[in-house]
Amino acid sequence: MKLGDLSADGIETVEGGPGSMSMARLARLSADARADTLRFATLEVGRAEDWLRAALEDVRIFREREQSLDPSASAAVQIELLAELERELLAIRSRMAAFGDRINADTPAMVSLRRQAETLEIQIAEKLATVSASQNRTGAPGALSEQLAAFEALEIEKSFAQQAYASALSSLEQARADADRQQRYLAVYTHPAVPHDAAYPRRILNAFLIAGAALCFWVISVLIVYAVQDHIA
Amino acid sequence: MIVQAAFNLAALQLRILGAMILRETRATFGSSQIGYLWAIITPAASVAVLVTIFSLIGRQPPFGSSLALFFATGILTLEFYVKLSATLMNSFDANRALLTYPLIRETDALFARLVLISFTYLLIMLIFFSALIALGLAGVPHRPEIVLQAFIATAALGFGLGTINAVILSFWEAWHHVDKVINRPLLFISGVFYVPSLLPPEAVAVLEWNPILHLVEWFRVGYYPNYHSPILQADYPAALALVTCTIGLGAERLFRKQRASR
Repeated sequence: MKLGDLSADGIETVEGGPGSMSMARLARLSADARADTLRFATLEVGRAEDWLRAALEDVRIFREREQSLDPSASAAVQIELLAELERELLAIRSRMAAFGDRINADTPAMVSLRRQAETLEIQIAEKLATVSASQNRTGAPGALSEQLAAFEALEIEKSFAQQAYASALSSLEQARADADRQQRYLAVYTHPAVPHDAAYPRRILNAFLIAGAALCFWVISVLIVYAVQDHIA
Repeated sequence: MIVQAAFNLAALQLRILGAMILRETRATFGSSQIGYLWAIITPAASVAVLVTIFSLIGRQPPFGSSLALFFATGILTLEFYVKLSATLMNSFDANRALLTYPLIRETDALFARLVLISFTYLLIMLIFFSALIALGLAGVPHRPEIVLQAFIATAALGFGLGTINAVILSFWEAWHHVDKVINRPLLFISGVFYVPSLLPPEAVAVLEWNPILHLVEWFRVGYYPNYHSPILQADYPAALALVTCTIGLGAERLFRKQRASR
């Protein structure tokens, strides 16, 4: 790009006009670039946020439906109860075995023991049915193992969403930092020197050139006319 | 009365010119009618030979898609100039016998040769470019008026330098050889085989003093629709043509008496 001005003090407009124009354009360009990066990062964060919120909502709905705060904890409690019952059953059975040879089976003590054992067996079977869904499952509220499986899936979903949210947040931070740092600059490398006189228009030179050209045309015309006139001389 | 006289004079001048052109044609190309054809065939053949050689080498056209068109735009302009300046240089010697007639002057010989050669080359270009267009090797000139301007500038420069040559030759016979030495490298420094604007700046700084280069570029700018030529300064050859015409015609008149006495 080449710029000119017809007066010596026009240099300021030459420097100021296009210079500040380029600066403004540059500022607009970097603002656009910045807004662009930030917009993408913010969009990403919003998406991760939605995901996380949906995952949490799923967990909440699950808890309300199954009426259990933490299926894994309740499973642990159930297993503990089951172990307790089995231990008791074992104790009663060993007592019955110990009495077995010496006492008649119809003695009241033996009958009571047997009844206790039977009760315990029924209870263990019931407990087992609630814990695992392998046999005689009848529906809601589902067996504990099923609940556990569903809950774990939700938990994994939740933890993924959390991770995605965290990484989106950190990349937004990164983008903000980058955008703040990535500024383009336009520096004026050499300022135009202020001339004493304007180089253009070349008034005197142009006047001479036109006069010279006119003279040439005139001389040629005259010479041609002479050349024609020679024929009668 | 004066108008009538001027009219008569102009008619006389035209009659002399016409007669001299006819004589020149006969003298240059022989008395047969076909002889004039050679004036057209010779440059056409030289361009054709060049194009054939470069095509066989496998050279790509420096610009555009047609090697023939690129060379033709360059070499026809160059040949027109060379032919004009060389023929005008010899016009005093060649017409020595005629110049003894009081009615015929040196300028008449110059003008006659200018008209004849310009017309011939106009015809050559018309035929050559029409043939290229017909063969599908070239497009129609993009801006014919610019091509015509370039042609006229070439004619003016050739006339100016040819007239100066003629005057110098009439005083110094050896000028013949000097002119040959000057014109010999023109084929290589006038951008006939290359696009001068693509040369390194050092080469451009030297070559841009060659007015023929500008004329060739001028011609191409008019012919090609997209030929950008940063090197072209059309006012340079035009101004040079104006100045050389002035100097040539002036010198011819100034030294006419001395020449006659030799």
